[in-house]
Amino acid sequence: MELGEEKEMMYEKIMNSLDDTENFALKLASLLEAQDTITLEGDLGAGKTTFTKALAKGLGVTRTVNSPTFTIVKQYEGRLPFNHLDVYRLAESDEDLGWDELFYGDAVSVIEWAHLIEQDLPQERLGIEIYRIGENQRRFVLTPLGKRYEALCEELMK
Amino acid sequence: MIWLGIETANAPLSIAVIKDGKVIAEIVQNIKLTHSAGAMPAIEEVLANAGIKPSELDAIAVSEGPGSYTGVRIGVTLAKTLAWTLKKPLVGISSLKSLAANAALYDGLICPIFDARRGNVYTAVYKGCELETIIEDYHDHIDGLLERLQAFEAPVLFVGVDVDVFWHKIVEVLGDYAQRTPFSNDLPRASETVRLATKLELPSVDAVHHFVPQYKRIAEAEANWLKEQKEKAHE
Repeated sequence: MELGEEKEMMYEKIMNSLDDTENFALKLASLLEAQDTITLEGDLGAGKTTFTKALAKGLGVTRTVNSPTFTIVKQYEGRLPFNHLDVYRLAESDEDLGWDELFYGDAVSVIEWAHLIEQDLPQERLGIEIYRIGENQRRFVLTPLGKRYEALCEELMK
Repeated sequence: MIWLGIETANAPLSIAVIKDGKVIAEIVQNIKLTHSAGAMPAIEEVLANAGIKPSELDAIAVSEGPGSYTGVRIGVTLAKTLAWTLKKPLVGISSLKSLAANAALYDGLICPIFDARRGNVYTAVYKGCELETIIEDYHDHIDGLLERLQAFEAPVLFVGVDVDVFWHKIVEVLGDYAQRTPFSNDLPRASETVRLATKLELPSVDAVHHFVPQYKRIAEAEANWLKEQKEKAHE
C-alpha cells in the first residue's frame, strides 16, 4: 500500500482499569457500521481478547467469544454480524480465504496479527495497538486510515 | 440411479434428489440463513421427503465454485464427507454452469453472474442448450467483463440474483443487447447440478479424497507478482 507523503494520524488513550477498557470497547461498538474493519495488535496478555469480548458484547453478540487462533475466523451474530479473525497461522501463506466477502459484506471485522495479511486488508481501516503499562493499565494507540475512521476516532475521543 | 445434488456456492441454497432421470424432491431457497445452519437439515429433509435413505444414494453432485468462499467450502465439505463415508462417487460441477443451466432453453449467449464484491464478479459465458463454453469461469471487474461482452455484438442473457447489483451498468454498456431471465430462473437449482453431472463419466470413489473447491481466483500476492513480472517484461 502506498500512503505517499500523507501523514498518519494517531490518537492515544490511557485506560486505568478493566472497566475503562470495556467502556471504551462498548462506545466503539455503538459507532460501528457494516464493513468496518479494525486491526488489533498487542503482546500476549495485553488484553486483545478482553477488548474483543467487550466489543462483541457492544455489538449485541450473546454467544461466548473465544480465540479464533485455530479456526482463523469465527463469525457471530449481533446487531451486525461480527467476524473475529486471528491470522497468526497464515504467516508465510498467500492463501486467499475469501477476504472480500469477509471485509465487504454486512459484518464488522476485528483482525488480530493483521500485518500478516497486510495486502489483503481494506486500505481504509482502524488500527488499534494495545500496550501494557501496569497490572490493569493500558495504553491504546489508534491509527485511523481513511476519512470514515478519522471521524470515528474524533467521536471516540470526545 | 439415485443422485443427491448440493448447491450452496452463494447465498441461495438448493438440495435435490434425482432418481432415474426424474426430480423426486428439491429445495430451492434464498433466505437469510447461513448454510452452516441450513444445509444439513435441508439434505435430511429432501431425503426424507423423497423416501430415500443415504445408503441408497448412488452418486453425489456438488456445485464446486466459484462463488462465496464460505458457501463453496460448506457445500464441498458436506459432499465430500457424505461421499467418503457412504463410499459413493462425487462429481463437481461449476456453480456458474449450474446456474446458466436455468437458461439452457435460450439459443444464444448466457452469462451467469455472482457478486464478488468491490465491483468484481465471478462469471462465464456459455452458449445455447448444450452450454458450450465461450468464456471460461473466471474472476473479473464488471467493466472488464462488459468490455469482452460488447465485442460479441450479440444479445447476452444474464442469469442470477446478483445481476441486480450490476444491471444498471450492464444496460449502460450493452444497451439492447442486455437481456435478463425471468426472476423465477434466477436461483440455482441442485437438480440442474445433477443433470450436468449425469453427462460426465463417474469418477472413482478414491477420487473423493482429492476433491477440491474451484475458487477461480488467485491470491492478491500472486496477482501482484504476476503484474510485476509483466511490467518487468515490458521494460
